[in-house]
Amino acid sequence: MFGSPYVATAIRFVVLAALQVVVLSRIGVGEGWSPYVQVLLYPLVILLLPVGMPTAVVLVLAFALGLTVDVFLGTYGMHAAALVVTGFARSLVLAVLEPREGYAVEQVANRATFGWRWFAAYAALLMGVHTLAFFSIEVFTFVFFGEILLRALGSFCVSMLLILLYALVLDPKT
Amino acid sequence: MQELLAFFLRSGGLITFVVLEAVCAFLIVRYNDAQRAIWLHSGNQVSGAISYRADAISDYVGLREVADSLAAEVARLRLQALLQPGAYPDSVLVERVDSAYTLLPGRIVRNSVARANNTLTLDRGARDGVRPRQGVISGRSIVGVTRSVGEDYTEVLSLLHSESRVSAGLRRAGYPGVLRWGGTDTRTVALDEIPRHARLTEGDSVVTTGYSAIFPRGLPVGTVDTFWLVPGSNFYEVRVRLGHDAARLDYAYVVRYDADAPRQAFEQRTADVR
Repeated sequence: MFGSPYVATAIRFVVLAALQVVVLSRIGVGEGWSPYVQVLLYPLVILLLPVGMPTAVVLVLAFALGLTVDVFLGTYGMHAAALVVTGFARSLVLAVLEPREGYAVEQVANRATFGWRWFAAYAALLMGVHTLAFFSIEVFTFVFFGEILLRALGSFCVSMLLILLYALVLDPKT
Repeated sequence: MQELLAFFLRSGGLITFVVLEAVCAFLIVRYNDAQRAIWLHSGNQVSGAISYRADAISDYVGLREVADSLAAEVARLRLQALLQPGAYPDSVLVERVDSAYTLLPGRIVRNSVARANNTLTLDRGARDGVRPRQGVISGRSIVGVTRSVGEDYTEVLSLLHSESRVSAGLRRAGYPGVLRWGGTDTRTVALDEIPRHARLTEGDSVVTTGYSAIFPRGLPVGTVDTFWLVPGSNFYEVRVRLGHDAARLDYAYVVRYDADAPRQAFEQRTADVR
């Protein structure tokens, strides 16, 4: 049933977007700390797209997903902007991490296909880009660059933990 | 169409990225108060800085215009001062300057002091009412006399010209003489024909006599710098320090004496006869 990566992507889109706006973005970690720890799981939808998908399509999908999240969180454009950056960075990261034998068009960029090391590096790079982009946009001025870094770092750690957990539990093969 | 789509899918990444980010930027600024405030503030900062620069530039560009209008204003005030009856109370030479004189400010666009026969060019010409043989002054001293007049430019025979002769006198001593340039020092000219019985003092003011229609009576020229008697001569050698530095002139005023055409014609005629 989940055989096609496109069906899987559609399901992930709905489920992860819902999970993000209903649960993850409502998690508070205590007075004063919440801005520094925001769990961002929805970028997984973009991370787990087929490798051969054209960048333009990835970007449109990223925009749609980001805007969906934005609409529910009332942060119009912020998640969308960050996720479009991430989607664009994805093609660059894929090029950097390309295995010696190259990619096949239908391969999905997940742990089951490329292994733990590859997936961890891939996810870490993109989540790094995403958190930095998102908090830069949220703070919206580089005057507080330390603040941006702190927020990005806190959210990056928690989000990466969940992403790796996701890869461990929900990637079927191995 | 299909090819276009294929092309877009193949290499439309960057353009899609830019377009979508632009849309996001618009949304962020439009619908998020904090970001909007920052955006507007930054926008103001940037536009403020830009318009500050633009102002500075247009101010600088407009300086010439400002200087021109100031020169015109100065000309008016100088004329007013010259027309005051008591402008030079200690002078025997000075009386009221005829109100027929008007001053026309002009910019000196070419100047020379290094040659034996120096001339200047003024950016005023026949179009502005300049004619040959009109005086040119700087306000602190006299510059020269107009010679050849074009439509928009006038060549001025500098006081620092070997052929230049201007009638001027000593204010306190009360004797008229003739200004003549010695040919070397651009800051001083000689005042000839001061008789030996004149009571000269250093620092005495030298002013125009008004013996010709070129300069009205009483315009400042400079002060007596040094003087001495040549043995056997009946006249003093007088050196007059000019009121201005001729090498550093920017503006000058053409003295127009409109009401004195008959006198000028007469003088011209007698000069021709001689």
